[in-house]
Amino acid sequence: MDFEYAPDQHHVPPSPTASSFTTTRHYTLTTAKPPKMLAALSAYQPRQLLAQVLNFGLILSTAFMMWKSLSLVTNSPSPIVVVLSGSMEPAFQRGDLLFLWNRGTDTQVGEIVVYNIDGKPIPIVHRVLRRHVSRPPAKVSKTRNYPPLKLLTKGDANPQDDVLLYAPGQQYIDREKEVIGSVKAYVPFVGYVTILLSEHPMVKTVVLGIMGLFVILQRE
Amino acid sequence: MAVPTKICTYSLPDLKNTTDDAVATQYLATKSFRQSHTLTDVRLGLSTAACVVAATTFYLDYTQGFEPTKSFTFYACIVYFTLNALLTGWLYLFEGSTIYVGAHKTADVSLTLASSVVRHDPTYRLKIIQSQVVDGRKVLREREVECPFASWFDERGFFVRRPFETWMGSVVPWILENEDVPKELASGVVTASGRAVEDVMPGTEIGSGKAGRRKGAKKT
Repeated sequence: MDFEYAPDQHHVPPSPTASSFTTTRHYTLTTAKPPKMLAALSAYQPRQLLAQVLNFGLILSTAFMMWKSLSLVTNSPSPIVVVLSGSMEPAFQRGDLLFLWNRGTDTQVGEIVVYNIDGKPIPIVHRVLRRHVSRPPAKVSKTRNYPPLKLLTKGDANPQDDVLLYAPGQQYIDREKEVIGSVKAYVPFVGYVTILLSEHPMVKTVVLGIMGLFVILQRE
Repeated sequence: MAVPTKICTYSLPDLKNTTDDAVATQYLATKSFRQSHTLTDVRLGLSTAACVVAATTFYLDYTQGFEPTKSFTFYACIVYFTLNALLTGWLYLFEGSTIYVGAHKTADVSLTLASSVVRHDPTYRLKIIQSQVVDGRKVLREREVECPFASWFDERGFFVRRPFETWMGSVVPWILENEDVPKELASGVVTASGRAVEDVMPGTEIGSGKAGRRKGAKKT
């Protein structure tokens, strides 16, 4: 017996005893079924669809704006960084998470700073080995809390200082222009996830894609 | 909805969301009601604005860097988190659990429906606030009704329209004045004209009597 399944007309299920005596029923769906996820999307009203997309947007943008707020508070373009190399061992290992502070600091020898060299994509975390204080004109020094500094840095595990890492001809780094913060706190190993994500770009794409899809498809 | 959505009958959010959608799209839209989307639109407007602010910040930060956009980012953060606070406030104070706001197309009656479920209890709880003008006075009628989800979901997880409409018809009976009367009519309900229908026999026409005549005419 063929049975066309129409859910609207089939409210009361047949009782177990009744169905056990009837022949097997074949349920044929009246329409071809699109893939499950697409069906879930097409069932939304336009407002619901927009709401789901915006939900995802709000999650992303809240994360981004919190990051930016942290940037403003610490005055550093990148207030949390992950150690990518072993040049500061044993102080920092690969994957350590560093918290930076870049506000009115009179950096001292022994402090660990993160700096960016023009033309190099990745910031470097190294210890200050030597500092040079220049004496600015009286007019300038009135407006600032600490004098302009030039720093020489070195990785704890490196055999020599960083002059070779600087731009050609550069002997020192500028505290204001090149340093994006000094390390105030660290959490070991937590940042290893981002190393995985950045060293395998596919992982990042896939994870982001899956997260986005889930937020759009799920309610609450 | 061309394809009837199938849900997991053990998932309370699935049950509630499908039923919420059905209240607006499958029941009240087919009656003489016009839905008001103001609540939803304000929410969507606020979230869109927040996303636009974040996107602009991201674009400027990406193209110009941290230092030049610092003051813009500062104001953007304030605006973004203000919008987010407004959105949260809107959700908690105004929208809440409201699933439908609408007015009758001809009669001076408006409806506000709010639904809720209690954790681990598969019962749909609907709060109906009916606002209308009777004899020059604004009358608010509020009633809270509940019904197990199993009444309108079959065992496969398909939403079944007819029992749901019967139930809706009995809890919002004054819609019936210009519509077909459902078979099962609960007692103790009030019509749009303010008449209690306790004494009316089940299945008897209620209201002005026009509906009854029209219905009879349709049949012949």
